[in-house]
Amino acid sequence: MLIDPKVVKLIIFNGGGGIVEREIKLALNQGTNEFEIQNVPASFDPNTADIKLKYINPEDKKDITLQQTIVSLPDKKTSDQIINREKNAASQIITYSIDFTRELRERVTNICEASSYRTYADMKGIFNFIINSKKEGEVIVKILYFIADLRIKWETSLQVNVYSDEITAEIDASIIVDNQTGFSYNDVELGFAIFELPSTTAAATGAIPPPAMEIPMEQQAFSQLNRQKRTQRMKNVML
Amino acid sequence: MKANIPTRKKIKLNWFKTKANLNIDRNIDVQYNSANVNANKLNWDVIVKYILIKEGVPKEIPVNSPITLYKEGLPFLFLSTANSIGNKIISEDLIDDDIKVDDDIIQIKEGETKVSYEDAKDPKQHIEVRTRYDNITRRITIENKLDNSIELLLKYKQTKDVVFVNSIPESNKIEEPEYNYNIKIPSEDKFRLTLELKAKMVSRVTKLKPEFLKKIK
Repeated sequence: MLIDPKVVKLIIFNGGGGIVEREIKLALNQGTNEFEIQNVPASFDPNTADIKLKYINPEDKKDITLQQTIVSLPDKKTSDQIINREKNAASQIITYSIDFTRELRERVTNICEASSYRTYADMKGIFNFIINSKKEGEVIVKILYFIADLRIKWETSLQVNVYSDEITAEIDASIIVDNQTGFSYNDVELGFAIFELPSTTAAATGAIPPPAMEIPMEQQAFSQLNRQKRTQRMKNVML
Repeated sequence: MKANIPTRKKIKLNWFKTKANLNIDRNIDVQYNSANVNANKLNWDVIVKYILIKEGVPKEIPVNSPITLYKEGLPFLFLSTANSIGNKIISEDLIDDDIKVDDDIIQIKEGETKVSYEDAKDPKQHIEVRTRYDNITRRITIENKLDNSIELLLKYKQTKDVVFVNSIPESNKIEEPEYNYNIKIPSEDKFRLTLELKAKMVSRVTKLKPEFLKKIK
């Protein structure tokens, strides 16, 4: 069954990416219940994808169990072909958009813009799960996954008004969330963390690393020297 | 905090508004070696950083976050954060272009040269080591080009080749090998510090040993 759980919480990293928490109440039939989650971006990290069951009645714990999760990412080559085809089509439409009326032109422009900005990370990933139930009932499902997409991030803006005595000031701080992904999050509980995703996840975002042949030999040697990893502890920002 | 985050958009959320104390830390680090101690003129940079100590609960602020300082409603300085510790927000280090530091030589009293020898690679040669201790006097002039008075800390750090002898005025704090001077300079005024130093000057020349020199007939 196709389901589209609401995004209830989004923790955004200042270095890009974040953690998505979605929740839905599901009706279960007796036996095996398979669900397919919609609108999971291809930038999600399949290894961190997690399902948690919240039982409405405590006694359901022994009757309702999570059998398995099934996760996969779309094929990179095919996705790129689709994206390129859509970009070309969008470009063609914009060329002839002068013939449209004003309202239609704006709508077409929005669609075409969305197509031209689309990357692999905006494609849909597969996140399915199976729940076994010994009886008909209901359960609340909590879905958690990391998104390794550097196009969603946050930064601060600090405006400091210095008073005439030059030793006191007023700080006016804001958080600016920049979401250049193809996904919208409506009425979502926001969290902010100071964290940078490990560079190994860059592949998931569709970022193309330069081919090894194009990196000078000396640079490759130096990058080997810097392999020693450093600690990076996530810091939650208090709102 | 609940919000809508639409696709391909930037949204701005109010975070906090609070009063803070503003401290301006200015430092000059002075250090000589045998190569630069006798230079006619040296220039040192004044490193400035802004420290905001805010009221209320501590907030973590990411490194490199932009800070804009406003005075009378107009922006006058753009900075970025170096780090935040508790309620302290510390800006990155900047070179203060409005404070000029000139370091000029006043006097060099060359000491007596002492000669010693070291072995060279070639057994027929030896290295002549000429060592002398020079007394050097330098004057550091700090000019405040700002329209307000400033306070700064000058840190002189002695090295193995150049040691501190005396200074006018005297240092406020000595923590060997550092000599700290707390300096206050009114607007458009100058401060002068005279340093007396002793520098070990060593030169090495590889020479043929006398017994291998050809005798002139």
